[in-house]
Amino acid sequence: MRTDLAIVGAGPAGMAAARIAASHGLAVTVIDEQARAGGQILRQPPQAFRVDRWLTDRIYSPQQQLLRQSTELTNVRWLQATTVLGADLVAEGVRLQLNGAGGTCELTADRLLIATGCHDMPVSFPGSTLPGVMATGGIQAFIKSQQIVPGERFLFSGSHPLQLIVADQVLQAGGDVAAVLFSQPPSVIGQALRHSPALLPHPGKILYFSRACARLLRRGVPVRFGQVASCARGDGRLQSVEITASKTLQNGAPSRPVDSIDCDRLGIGFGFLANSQLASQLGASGHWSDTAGGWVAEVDAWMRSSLPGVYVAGETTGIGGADVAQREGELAGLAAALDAGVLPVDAANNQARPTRRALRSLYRFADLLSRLSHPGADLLRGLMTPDSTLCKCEEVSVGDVTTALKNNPFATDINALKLLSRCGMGLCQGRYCQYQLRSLLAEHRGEAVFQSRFPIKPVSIGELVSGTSDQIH
Amino acid sequence: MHYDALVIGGGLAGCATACYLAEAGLSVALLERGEINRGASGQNAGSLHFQLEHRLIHHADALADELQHYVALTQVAIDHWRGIEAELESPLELAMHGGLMLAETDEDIGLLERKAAIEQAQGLEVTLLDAAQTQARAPYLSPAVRAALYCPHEGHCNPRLLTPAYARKAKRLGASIVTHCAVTETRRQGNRWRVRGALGSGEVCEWTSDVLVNAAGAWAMDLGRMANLHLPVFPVGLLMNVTERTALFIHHLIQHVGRRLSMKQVDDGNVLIGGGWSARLPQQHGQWLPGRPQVDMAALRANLRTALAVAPGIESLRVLRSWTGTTGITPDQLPLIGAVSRAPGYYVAAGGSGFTYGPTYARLLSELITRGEASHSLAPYSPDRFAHMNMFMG
Repeated sequence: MRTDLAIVGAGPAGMAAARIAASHGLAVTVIDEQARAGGQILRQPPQAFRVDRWLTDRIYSPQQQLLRQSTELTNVRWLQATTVLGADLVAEGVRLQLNGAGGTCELTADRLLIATGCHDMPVSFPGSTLPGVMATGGIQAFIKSQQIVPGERFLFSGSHPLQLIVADQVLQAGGDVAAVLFSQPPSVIGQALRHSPALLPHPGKILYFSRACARLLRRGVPVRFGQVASCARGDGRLQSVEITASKTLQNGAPSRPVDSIDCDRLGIGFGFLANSQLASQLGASGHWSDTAGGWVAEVDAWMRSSLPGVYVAGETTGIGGADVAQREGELAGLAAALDAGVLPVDAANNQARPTRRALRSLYRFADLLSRLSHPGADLLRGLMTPDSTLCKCEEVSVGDVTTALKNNPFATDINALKLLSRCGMGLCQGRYCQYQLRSLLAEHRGEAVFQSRFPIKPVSIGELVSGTSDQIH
Repeated sequence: MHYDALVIGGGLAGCATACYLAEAGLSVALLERGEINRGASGQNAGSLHFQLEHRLIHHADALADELQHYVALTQVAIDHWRGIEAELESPLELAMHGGLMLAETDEDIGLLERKAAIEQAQGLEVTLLDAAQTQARAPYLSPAVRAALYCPHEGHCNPRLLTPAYARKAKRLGASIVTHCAVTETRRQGNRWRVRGALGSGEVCEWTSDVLVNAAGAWAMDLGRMANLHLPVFPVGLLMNVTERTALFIHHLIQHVGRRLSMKQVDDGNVLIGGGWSARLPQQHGQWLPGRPQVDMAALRANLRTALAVAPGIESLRVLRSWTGTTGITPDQLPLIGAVSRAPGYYVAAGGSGFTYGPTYARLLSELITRGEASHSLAPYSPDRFAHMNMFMG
């Protein structure tokens, strides 16, 4: 089967692009891993569930409106609960390998938009694999989709303001929050205020954070700066967390705990990494960004990647948040219509103008947020003791990798290091260790990243061999 | 800087040759344009296959003399592998617990019998098993397997580990290993070779040597051109697949006499599936590019179907990665190992079965270089069998 435009990801970018492209007459197919559209920002409850007070805050309303519009679109086919295993460029456009409820199949598209979003940045430290240590975004997904509080007493440690939102959501959903730790010194607030011109155009966001903070303080939740969870302890599950001053770890000194907090859940929130595997597997050009998502795809002003007929929008071009993603999706939708010859260039430019104007201010806000919320390489490196697990899939420790580097001084590239140490060779293809592994390489880091391979997500041999072309009708 | 020998190419052939030359007391430098072990040496599936390959049996009559030599060399290689972990002082996840070449049809069985006769006549240890004996030895195989030829020495070694172990030992023995150095020029000057290369930093370096070893693998032809030589090694793209880890249940190297298949389970529990399915080489302006070949989905599915047909237990295993690599083949399917008479001091080690025989080829080549004669003749592999192509070259 074929389609005019295949969109991978039904988050804000994918939904916005689908809406625009369909409105210009393109036949659109949206492929999404989740059971229901909305992406991570609008984690929908399962169809059969009724969740009262689902994402009632105004901050979610632009995306909720988009979701309502999207579900009413004709001309759009939604393939939910479907994974893209890989893609390649063919004479007819792009051929995608899909794995859904009916097994594997192929879909050929004239054009492809990659809008695959992002995931929480994993961080290695002693005890980081202990049950009870979670990604802050993961905790939020439980609460958003089903109002489930996945634990009793929560501690948050990280550098991203999302921590405050999730801590607030935990409280509202009935959980207990021991503290929220920011690795940055308190002066980070002053730094943010000095950049108020970037903040002022976004009063909704500021208000939302302020209200969350106020509620936390009212409930007596300590928000501490300059501290970080340096060790998770417990017998088979998390029981307590050691706290260290960020400065100690940044200076490369061994951890000297200043405090210990009893809790059964630790949320780790140091920011996000782009889901760039599909773009990388296809061979799109990209560059490395320490603060805005790791390896991110390069795009032009119309969200076109370096590959013909392939567009990238949203977090995969650099972490920017849901509003940026939605606007980039609009541009990509226009570009697909423009390049397909169904939208004249003047009309495309006209329609893109308000979007581009909105993006200018959103990008300024996103850049500031990325910069201020990044914990810094020294802190991340300081957390990585030799015993810390670096590659969860293959159970490779930080020490295993540094030993491999010491013994093989001629290995300087991340893919060579992967072969030597097994780090990144497992189920996730390095999605969860690449960022940290790069920090251990002294030189030749450059733009080098793991080469993503087919299949981007594991698939059984049975499912693979059962598939043939042209199964989607 | 002058060296006794310059080796170009940081794959298995290059690193092992550099190691043996350094061991023999030569001053050696190895030049690699990327990183050590990043080509076919680190990308292949690590099979140690000592049984005659499918392609060779088909031409058994024409290749009678070569086959005799080949099987004799196999014995040398088997002995070499048995001691290689001690020799390199490194664990290499070496397993030589036997391999089975499977047959499903009457035609397959006919081929197996013919193969067994050739191999046994040459003294290679192989046993023909009927269906029941095959099931008894390998209960994980499908009842569709009607016969198998068993060779007790076959197995696998981890290609991630072998070449770096040679590189480490070469370094310990004083060899200089220069990575991220793209050779741009090799020129005969007087009785020396003059080699230029560009380092990653952009700096251009120059070396001279008495001996130059072309160990550029699939790209040996390109490098040969820099010495005004035709070295017929052609790049081909191949596909391999690896599954998630699971409890050990495949205890042999599995190959098929009539279909393209190689399958094994490594110590970590992953099942590796390949067997010569092709992948498309990248090209531009009619030239092959050194980038990774593209996965051909039809080949990938056919490869897995072939494996599933003989080992039904793999059906539920998840594929972690399908990867491609580029290896080199020669017009007569035998490798190029030895001296190029047209260009004194120029040696080649490239093209074909480079993993199973790589360590042995490298050792024999280093003997040829340092003593003028190898302990086991390399004559059938001499690049001079293509000397007519270099009549007007050199």
